[in-house]
Amino acid sequence: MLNRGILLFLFIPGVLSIFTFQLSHAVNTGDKAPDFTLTDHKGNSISLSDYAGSVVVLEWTNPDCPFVQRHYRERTMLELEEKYRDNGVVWLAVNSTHYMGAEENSNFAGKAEIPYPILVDGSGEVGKQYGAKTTPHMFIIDRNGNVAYQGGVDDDPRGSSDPSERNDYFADALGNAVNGEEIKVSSSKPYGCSVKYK
Amino acid sequence: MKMKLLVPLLLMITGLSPAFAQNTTGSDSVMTSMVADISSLESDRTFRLGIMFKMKPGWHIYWKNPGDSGLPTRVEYKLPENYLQGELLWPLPERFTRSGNITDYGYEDRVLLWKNIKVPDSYTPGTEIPVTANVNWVSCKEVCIPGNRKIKSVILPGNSRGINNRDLFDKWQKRLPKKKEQEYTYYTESKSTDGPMTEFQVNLDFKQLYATDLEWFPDPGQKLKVERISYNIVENGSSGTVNFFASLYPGKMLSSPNMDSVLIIHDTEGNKTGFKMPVKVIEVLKKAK
Repeated sequence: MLNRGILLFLFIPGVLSIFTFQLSHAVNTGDKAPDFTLTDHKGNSISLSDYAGSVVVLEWTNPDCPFVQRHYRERTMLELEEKYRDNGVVWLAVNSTHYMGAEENSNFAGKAEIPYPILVDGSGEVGKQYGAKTTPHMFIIDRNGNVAYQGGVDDDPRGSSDPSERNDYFADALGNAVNGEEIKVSSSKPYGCSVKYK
Repeated sequence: MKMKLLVPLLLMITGLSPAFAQNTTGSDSVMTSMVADISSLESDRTFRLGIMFKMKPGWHIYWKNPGDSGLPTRVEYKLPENYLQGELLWPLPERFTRSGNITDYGYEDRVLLWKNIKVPDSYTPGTEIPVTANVNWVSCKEVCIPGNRKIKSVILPGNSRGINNRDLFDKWQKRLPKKKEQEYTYYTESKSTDGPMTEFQVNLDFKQLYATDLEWFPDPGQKLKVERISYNIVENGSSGTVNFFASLYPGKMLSSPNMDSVLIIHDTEGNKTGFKMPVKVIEVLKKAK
């Protein structure tokens, strides 16, 4: 009898606290991508719903971040955007850095010769809605409006791997999405600087 | 025998200047210097070789699992042939949280990271040991700055500073996570959720102490996504739980049913002790694609 009493004593705290409140948070792969409206670095108002039916890339960025700087030096995003532009892929960069506005993003676009819009998300609302944690952090929305990929550019945070040995998760996923194929690796650990929310 | 007495009087480690040097990328948020403790070289044929990092206020560098952002600090040594290098040793980290639910693991103010080195049988006591260290890190405050430094040096055994460094290394040795013995017992439960994540609860029963606070640092490598970590102390500090959600990243495989982690317990005596704690996470496979 004593043994059973002890067992119950040990078990109850476990049972009670395993019922945790599930906070609503970032989007799961496969979920509908939340709609949003933001102003880009040129002052245009852009909504995700404007592009229903297209493959859309959301690229969280911050020109102050060395990981972003490396990718722009290596033209990772620039080359992919150009490659798939004629396939109708819509490429939107999003900057949720709380201390940057249209001017800083305009300067970035000018210096790096970025042909796609940089959406100014200084309040961080859209970033937090998507659960963007790093810069860069990549999302692909398929033609049905669902999040098809979220995560890192690749598995090489230091930029030191041999390209032939590197897993280009994002590039591979984008190719699949454009062809309407299943994405095998639909998420990976994102790497970069933390998004500088307020 | 007489040589042994003379040896400690020999001079400075060449190249290991006492002054910290700035890193080569030009930023001075982090200063690095190489330090060695050769006190066990004669007796054990081992020595400790480390890098001391000193960060300016507000700046931090990263643990082996950096958390949501950043990069693990990297220290690599080039030593002569047949020298055996142990793995890099990581003192207990801290958590840095920021808005947007972003948590990083790392170090502020200062940290010593080191490896235990074993010299080969062919090593003659008293011979100098050349070493090159390649160190790289990311330091962050409001912005992040990558840093790297190549340090070329020569370790001359028997210098008095080697003995002083023993105290330094011993102090940091105490800050390494320990292997658990009788201090507590634990078991892990899991529960499926509607989404892709599996919920886990680690139930802790403290035996030799009463806990006032817990900190938990998962070390999943690139394989598992770990999020929504929370802690609970119950029963006046005699037990507690760590809760988290985890999933396997697509295409990744578990090489073990357990994930490494570090548990830090703050107790009523004011102590902070860290333990290596493998946690059973094999249930993530039920949802694996």
